[in-house]
Amino acid sequence: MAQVTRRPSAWAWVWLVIWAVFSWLPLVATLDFSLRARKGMLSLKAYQNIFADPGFYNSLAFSFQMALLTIVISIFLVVPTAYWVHLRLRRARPLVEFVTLLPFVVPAVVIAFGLIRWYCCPPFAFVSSPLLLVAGYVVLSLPYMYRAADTGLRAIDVCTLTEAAQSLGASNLQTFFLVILPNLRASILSGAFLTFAIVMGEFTLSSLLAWPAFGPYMQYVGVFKAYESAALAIISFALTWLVMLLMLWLVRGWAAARAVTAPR
Amino acid sequence: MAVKSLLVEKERINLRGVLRARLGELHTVWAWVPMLPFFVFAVAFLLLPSASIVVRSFQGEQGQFTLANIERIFTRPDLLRAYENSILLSIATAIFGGVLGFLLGYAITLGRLPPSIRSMVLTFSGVASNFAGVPLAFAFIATLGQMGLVTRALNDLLGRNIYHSGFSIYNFWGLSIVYTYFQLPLMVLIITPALDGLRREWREAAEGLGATAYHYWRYVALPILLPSLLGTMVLLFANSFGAYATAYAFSGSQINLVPLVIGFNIRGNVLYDPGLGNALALGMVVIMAISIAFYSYLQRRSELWLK
Amino acid sequence: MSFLRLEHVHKRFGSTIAVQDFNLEVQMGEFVSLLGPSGCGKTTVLRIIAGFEQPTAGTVHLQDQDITHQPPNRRRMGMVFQHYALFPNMTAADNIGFGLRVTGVRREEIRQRVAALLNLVQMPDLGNRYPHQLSGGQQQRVALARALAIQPQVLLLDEPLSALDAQIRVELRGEIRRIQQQLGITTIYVTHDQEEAFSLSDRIVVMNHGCIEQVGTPFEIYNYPATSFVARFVGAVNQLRCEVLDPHRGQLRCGNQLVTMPGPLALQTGAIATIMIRPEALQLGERGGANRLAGQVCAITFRGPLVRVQLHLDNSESLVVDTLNTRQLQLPQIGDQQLISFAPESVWLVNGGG
Repeated sequence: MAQVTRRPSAWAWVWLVIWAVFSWLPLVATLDFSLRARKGMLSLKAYQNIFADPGFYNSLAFSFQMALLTIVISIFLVVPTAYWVHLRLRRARPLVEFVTLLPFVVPAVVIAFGLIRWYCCPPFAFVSSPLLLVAGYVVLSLPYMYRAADTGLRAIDVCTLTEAAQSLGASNLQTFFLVILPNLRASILSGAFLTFAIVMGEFTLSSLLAWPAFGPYMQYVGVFKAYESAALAIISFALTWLVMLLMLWLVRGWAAARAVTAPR
Repeated sequence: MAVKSLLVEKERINLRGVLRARLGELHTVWAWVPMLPFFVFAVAFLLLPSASIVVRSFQGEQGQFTLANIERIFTRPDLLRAYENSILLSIATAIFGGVLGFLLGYAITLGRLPPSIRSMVLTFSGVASNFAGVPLAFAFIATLGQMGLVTRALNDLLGRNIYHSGFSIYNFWGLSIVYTYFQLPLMVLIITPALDGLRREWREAAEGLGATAYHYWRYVALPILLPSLLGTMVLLFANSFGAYATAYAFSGSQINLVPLVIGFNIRGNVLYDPGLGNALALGMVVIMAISIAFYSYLQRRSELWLK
Repeated sequence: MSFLRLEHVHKRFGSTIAVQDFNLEVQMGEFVSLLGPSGCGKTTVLRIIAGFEQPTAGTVHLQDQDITHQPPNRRRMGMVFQHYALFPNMTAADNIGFGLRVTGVRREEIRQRVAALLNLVQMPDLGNRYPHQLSGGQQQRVALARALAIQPQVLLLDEPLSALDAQIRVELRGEIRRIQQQLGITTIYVTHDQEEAFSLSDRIVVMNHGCIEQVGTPFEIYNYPATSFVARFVGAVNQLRCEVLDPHRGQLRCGNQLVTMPGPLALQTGAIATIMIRPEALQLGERGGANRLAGQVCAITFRGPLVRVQLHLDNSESLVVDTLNTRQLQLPQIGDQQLISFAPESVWLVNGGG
């Protein structure tokens, strides 16, 4: 209600313009470059080349599968743990937070190094299984997934909701699936989409573990083909945007649905 | 007889008490069971592999304790250069991204811009902070590479090629610009909530007590923000220090970075010098651990204030 | 001449009118409360006085000087906020000394003044604590000391107690009044709590929908409310619809029962009017005065020192009676017929003057 009326913020606009130029110029340049595969004219040739390459679809499909697996495993590992920490084991929180922060401390290249060294030889000769890649991705997703679940749990009163459900006769599992999980939908979803975006463009693990994922594919194309690599950059950027907008749209839709049904 | 049965009775009560206490302990142990999958996973794929790096850094080929691996880093100028480059690049981009991100965060929170601009900037930042790695490298080669759009535009405008004046997207300052592209949005995303946490009453209280805008920023706002500002910049440091994909995609780069060296060590097929690789990775983890410890210390302080 | 003067102040936010034609004169050393429901514009008036808002129209004068467009940091008005607004990065002492520091007072003098103020708010040993180490009541004491440190011309308090627990609220309330009288400082106090306003103020301004409803001493506001809004907002009140029987002798008919009030009334015989009586002016039984009403007891509620008895009159209007709660009190049963009585002087008329 009480707004403060002051002089317009010229500086804010200046910074905004600087930001806009810095943020959009590389994208505009890349788009421009990707359309110049034919000399002296604009064309979609680079894109046609990409879309005609089976390697594009194969790597995309591979990364997509990895992303889905990663999301499923990550949710399964993180969400019940975060719930339990909120409900019963508050003293485990520092420990869990420490573990989920570790992937920030240990760079991906070091994680890759550690995984390869640990699982290269018997009894854990595991390095040739795609599951090791997924495990690595799950590790990378831990900070994001845990933070998402944690914010969601902070927003609802976990203990009261659980007690209410149990006083009405729900078992532990019923409480989790029927009461807690639906309330965490939006935050889990945002964690999942973030994970998806990360895995789809991931390069370090997939390249060092030698898997034909989308990241290494882009890098491979970049070595030989200049215009196609610019086109790939645009495609990858568009893909990230698509995922982001889809997430926003879903989360807002749910928020709106809740706003309509809640009061009454 | 009566005394004896009383004793037995007492014993039984005692026993029951002990049993109940044991059950209680068991109960708290049971509470950890639902955490098992998470911890087993973390131990298997994060803690053990990482810990093994630490241990093996101090092991020779026969498993004996040695400092030779770590000493080797200090005797090889190229490796020391890699650490120096990585650290300097991370500091530079943390400062660039930090300062620019703070100014932009200021613009969208306290700059009284329309709310739609704020949400647009934040959404874009969410995308851009993930737009690292290979495609980002492509984008900057198309922008500031030898044949890049901006390079050509500047050539037309100034009449000279910036590459002839010492600029290159592959050298230190070129890479700094590239890294700043994903550092800046990360800064915006993290610093915006902190800026939102500055309560309007603080400014009003200060003004009511006779403070000017300078006084307010100097004594109130900046000191309150300082932990988050520094903390986020430490995070940016770590973010850039560990970046492998972007660095790798500029493989024509003249500058050597630690993640690249470790990558080469792995790629040199079946770890051509495992001892050295471990030591290099250890060095990285140590630097990251120091910075993250610093970060969480600062974070706790700012949480205390902004509660 | 008045110390602080607001003339024809209007404030509009977009299309909503927050304050409308606000006029007020405050004497030096006076304690004035702005009282009203949330959204009535009282906080906006305070913020206009402080300089955080510019009025859409009207002027603010301090000691005959027009300060309408003076920036807040030159007005020397200490403000205390609802949620304390202590600077979290400074100790209590640094918070208190802030206003002195930015105006360039010498370090040693700041130290002495801060120590004196900490004594004044009875926290002599807590100067080194940070706000997050203090309780809500202690934080608000520091905020008060901080506002007083600059020796403000006017002290402004914006619902300073509403975030605190009931007990601390009462305690701090007394403290505020003590300090205000000790320093003789002109004070404007915003609150929605009538009890606070009554116990603190020299004068009360009751506001509603951005307008002043009444300005007066607590006694006047409570016993001679100018409008039915004021009567209903401060304390409880019974409203009865009556028909005027005899305007000269002040006789009215309520259902089939007669009510007398001091005449003459400025109404025609046969006019419909609403009369008001405070519940504590009514008495169970016949000893309360010349007026008698009978009704059926429908509810009895204990309220600590008082017991509230609710009656249905024969014309289906209801009436509440507050009676002191004593051990000897003999209460009627629900469903009983009960006679109540009250003095003609305790009745007043609304909508129609009186």
